[in-house]
Amino acid sequence: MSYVPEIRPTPASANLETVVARVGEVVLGKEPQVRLALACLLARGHLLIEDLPGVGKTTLAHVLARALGLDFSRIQFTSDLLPADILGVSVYQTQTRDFHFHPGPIFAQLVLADEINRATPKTQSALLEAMEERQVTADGVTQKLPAPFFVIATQNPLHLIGTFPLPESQLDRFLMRIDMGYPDRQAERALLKGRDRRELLNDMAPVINGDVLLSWQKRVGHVHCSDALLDYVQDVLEATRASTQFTNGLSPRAGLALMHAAQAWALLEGRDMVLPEDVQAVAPSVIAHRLRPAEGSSEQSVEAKIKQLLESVAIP
Amino acid sequence: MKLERLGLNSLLLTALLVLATRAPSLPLWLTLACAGALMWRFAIHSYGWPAPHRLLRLSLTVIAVAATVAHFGTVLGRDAGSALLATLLALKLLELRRPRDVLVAVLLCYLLLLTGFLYEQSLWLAAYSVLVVWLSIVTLILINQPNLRSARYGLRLATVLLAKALPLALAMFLLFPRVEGNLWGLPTATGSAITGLSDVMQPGSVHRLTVSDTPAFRVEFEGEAPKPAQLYWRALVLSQTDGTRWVRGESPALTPDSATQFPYHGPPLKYRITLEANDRPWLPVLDLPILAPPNSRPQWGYVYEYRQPVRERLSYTLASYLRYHTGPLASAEKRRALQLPDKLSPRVQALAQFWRANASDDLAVAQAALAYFRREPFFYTLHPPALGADPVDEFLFSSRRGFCGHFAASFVTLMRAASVPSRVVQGYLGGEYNPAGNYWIVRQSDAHAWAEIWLPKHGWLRVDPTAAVAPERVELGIDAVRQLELSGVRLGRLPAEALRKLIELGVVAQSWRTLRLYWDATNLAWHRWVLSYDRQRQQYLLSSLHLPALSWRGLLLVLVLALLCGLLALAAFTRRARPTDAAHALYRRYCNKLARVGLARAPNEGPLSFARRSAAARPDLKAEVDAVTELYMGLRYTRDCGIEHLRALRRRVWRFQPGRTSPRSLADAKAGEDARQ
Repeated sequence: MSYVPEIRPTPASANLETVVARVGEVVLGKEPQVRLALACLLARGHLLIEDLPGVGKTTLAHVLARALGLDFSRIQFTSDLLPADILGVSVYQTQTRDFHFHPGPIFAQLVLADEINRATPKTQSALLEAMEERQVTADGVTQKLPAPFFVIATQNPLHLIGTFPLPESQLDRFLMRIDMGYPDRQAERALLKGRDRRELLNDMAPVINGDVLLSWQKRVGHVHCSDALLDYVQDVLEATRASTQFTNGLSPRAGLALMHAAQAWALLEGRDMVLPEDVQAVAPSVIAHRLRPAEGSSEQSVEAKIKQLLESVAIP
Repeated sequence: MKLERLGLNSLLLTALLVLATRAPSLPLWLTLACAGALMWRFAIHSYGWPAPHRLLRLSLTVIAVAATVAHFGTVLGRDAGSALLATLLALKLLELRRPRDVLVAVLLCYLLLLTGFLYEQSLWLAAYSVLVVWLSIVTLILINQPNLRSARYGLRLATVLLAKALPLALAMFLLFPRVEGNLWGLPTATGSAITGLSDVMQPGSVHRLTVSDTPAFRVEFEGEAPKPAQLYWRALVLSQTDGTRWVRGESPALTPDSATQFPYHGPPLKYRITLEANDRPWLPVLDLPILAPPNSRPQWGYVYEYRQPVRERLSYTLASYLRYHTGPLASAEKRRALQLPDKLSPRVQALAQFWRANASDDLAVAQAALAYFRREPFFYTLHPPALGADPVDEFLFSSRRGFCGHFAASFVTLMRAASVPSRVVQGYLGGEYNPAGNYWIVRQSDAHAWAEIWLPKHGWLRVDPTAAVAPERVELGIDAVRQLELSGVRLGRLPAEALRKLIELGVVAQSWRTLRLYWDATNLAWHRWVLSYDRQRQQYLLSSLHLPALSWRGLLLVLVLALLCGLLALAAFTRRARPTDAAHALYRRYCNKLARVGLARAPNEGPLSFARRSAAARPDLKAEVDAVTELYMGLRYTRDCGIEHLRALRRRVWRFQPGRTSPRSLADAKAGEDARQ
C-alpha cells in the first residue's frame, strides 16, 4: 500500500523511549509524569512539581539529569536563602586585585529548586528571572547559563506552614505543573522490595548527552502544526476565555506554551505532526496553574474544570 | 486484469435490456441468436463453459454478418443498421477478455439503444434508456474496479456520475444548435397512418360506425375556452354529390384575399393545435382563422391543406373568430353550392318545393327543415341500417335512423333542392377537456359532419341538423352517445339531467380516466418541450433569458467556449481546493458509518484515540480503521500530503463497511473462541 503516508519514526523517538524506560526503572509507576517532564524539557520549558514530600519529586529530577547526561545541581530553598546563594557571588581576589565571579548552583544544566515556596519572594524572583532570561547578571557582568537549561522546581502544597506561595505571574514562567501522587499498590510494592533508589541512580548510565538533547529541542520546533490543529488550539483558548468557571482566560503566551508543549509531546510520541490528542494530553498540565477558579463557580478542582472544558471543545 | 463476474453479469443485464427494446424490429432468427449468445456468455463465466475458440468466433462473425446482410439486402438504413449492431453486440459478448472488450460492448449497447429512437421517441423509451445508461455505467465501474467488494458502491457512484452529468446534458440539449426539421429527421413509415376523416362521404353504405379513441389533435386555448357545443373544428368542405357520395369536387379559383379576408366581430380566440400524424393533409381549424397555418394552402370554404400529408406530429398556433360575415357569393361558388344529383327523388323535390313556397326567405326554409327533423320520428344512432340506391330519399322517408353524415347529407340536399346555397362540412365536434394539462383532446371518434348554408344577410352560416335530432351529441359528446346506445336509451327523448345521471362514471372508471388524462398531458409536454424543441423554441428561450439571438454557428461557438471555460475552471478549482477539507468531509462520513454500528465519535475525540477505541471494540476492522485514520491524519495534520492520498482515503472510506463482517474476520473470531475454550 504505497499510498499510505509512512509516518517515519524519527531517530529521536527511539532514544526517547529508551529514556522513558530507563527513568521508569527508577521512578516506578509514574510514566505519565515522566513523559510530561520530558515533554516540558524538550519544549525548553521549566517544570513545577507540586506534591507532598517523599513522593519522588527529587528522585525524578535526579534520574532525568542522569539519564539525559546533564550536570545536575540542587538548591534547597529555605526562608533565609538569598539570591546570591543561587546565582553566585563576586569575591575580591587579592592577587589580581579585582572581583572574581563564583558561579552559584544555578549554573548547571538541570537545576532542582527544592521546595521553592519556602524561600522569600525576593529569592524566588531571582531564580525565576534567571529561568526566563537564561542568563545571570551580577555586579554588571552578564553570565550565560549553560544550554540546555532546565529547572525543576518542587513546591509543597500551600496549606503547609511557613511557605510563600508563588504569585500567578511567576507561576506563568513554568511551562507545566504536574502532581506526582502516591504510587499505586503494585509500584509501591516494587519500591519496597527493590534496591535503594540512590544506588540504582548511581549505577545508571546516561542514555544521551546535552548536545543530543539540544538537537531534539530544535526538532520540536519543526513538528508540524496544521491549520486544522491551530483551529483547535484557538478553540480551546477561546473556551477558557468564554467560560464562567475561571476569572480570566488564557493569555496568548499560554497559547504558545500549549502549542510548544503539544509539539514536544508529539515528538515524544514519535510523530512529526501535532494531533488534537497531543494538545489534550498536555493541556491540563500546561493550563491548570494559569487559571484561577472564579468566585462563586462550582466547588470542583481546577483540574476537573479543565477536563470538562476540554470535553466541551469539539475538534474541528 | 481478470474480469469480475459481477461486472460481467451487469454487462449481460445491460445488453439484455437493450436487445429487448430492439427485439420486435429484429428478425426472429437474429433475436434467438442474440439470446443464445447471452446465455453462452453467462455459462462461460458462471459455469466455466469454454469460451469459443478464435476460429469459431471468426466463422460465427462471418456467418452472422453475411446472414444479416442477406436478410436485409443492404447494411444501410434503419432496420439493417440496427440488426447489424445487434449482431455485433452478440458476437462481442462471446469475446470478453479485457476491460477494453467490455467498453466496446457497452458502446455497442449505446448505439443500439440510440437506434431505438429512430423507431419511436416516447417518454417510456427515454426513461428506459436512462435506466440502461445508468446500468452501463455501473458495469464500467465494476469492470474497472475489480477489487470492489460490493455492487452497492458501484450503483451509488453511477448515480452520482449521472447526476453530475445532468446539468451538462441539459445545457447541451437547450443550447446545442438545432437544425430545421424533426428531432431525428426521419419520416415515419406511411403504413402506420391512422384512419380519420375521408374526403369521400357515403353515409348510406355505412351501417356501423367504427369509432377509434385515437387522439386526432390536442388544443390549448389562450384564455377561456368556448363551450363544447361551440367547438366545431372544420377540416373539409364537401360540395359535390351524385346522390350517394359527397366529395370536394372542383374548387372554384381562389384569390388569396377571398380565402382569408372577411369582416369579423368580437375578440379573436387564440389557440395552439398539436395535430397527430394521420397521413392526411387537412388541418382542422376552429371556425374561421384570420391567418392560414404555416406551410398550408387555403382551400375553398376557409379550410386549409398542408403541403403534404401529415406524417409526424405538427403544431400550429391560430387566432379564430367565431362571429364573422363571409360576404357575397361569387357566381361560380353559387353554382357549386347549388349542385344537385342528376336524379333527384320526386318526394325530396316536392318536400323542398313545399317549404320554398311557404317560406318568406332562405332562413325560414332551413328552419322548416330542422323542424321537420325534430317533428318526424328521426333517431340518431351509430348503427344505422344500410341504404340502397337513393339513400337521401330512403333516409328521409323510411329508415329515419342515422348519424351525423346522414343528417348533413339529407339536409344539404333538401336545401339545394329549395335553392338555398349549402354544403357539407366535415371535421370534429367538441373534445375532452384535460384539466391536468389545461387542454382539449379531440379524438378520431369526435369526427362529425354538419351543414353550412349561405344567407345574404349572414354569409355562410353553420347549421347542424344532428343537433335538432340529438342535442346530446353536441352537448355531451360522442362518449355519452356511445354509452347511451349501449344501455339502450333512445337519443333525443330524455331531459339532460337524466342523461347526465345515466352516463355518470363509477369511481374506478373515473380514476382510470383521470390517470389517462394525466398521462396524456405528460406525453404532450414531452412532445412540446423535448421532441418539438426546435430552433424557434430555442430562440424564444434565449430571448426570454435576455440573451441575444444567435445563428447556429454562434451558438456552437458559445457552447464550445463555455465548455472549455467550464473545464478550465473545474481544473483550477480542483487544484486549488484544499485537500484537507475534503479529507475532513470524508472522515466525517467514515465516522458516520462507524456511528451506525454503535461506535460514535465524541466531538472532542481525536482521530487517534477514536481509532484505538474502534479497533478495541471491533478488532476485525482494525486494519481498515488504521489505514483510514493514518490517511486522514496525514491529510489533515501534516504539511505535504497530496491529492493521491485524498483519493486513497476516498476509496477506503467509500468501501468501508463496518456493518458487514468479512468472512475472514468471522473465522478469526471463531478461532479465538475455540482457543479460549
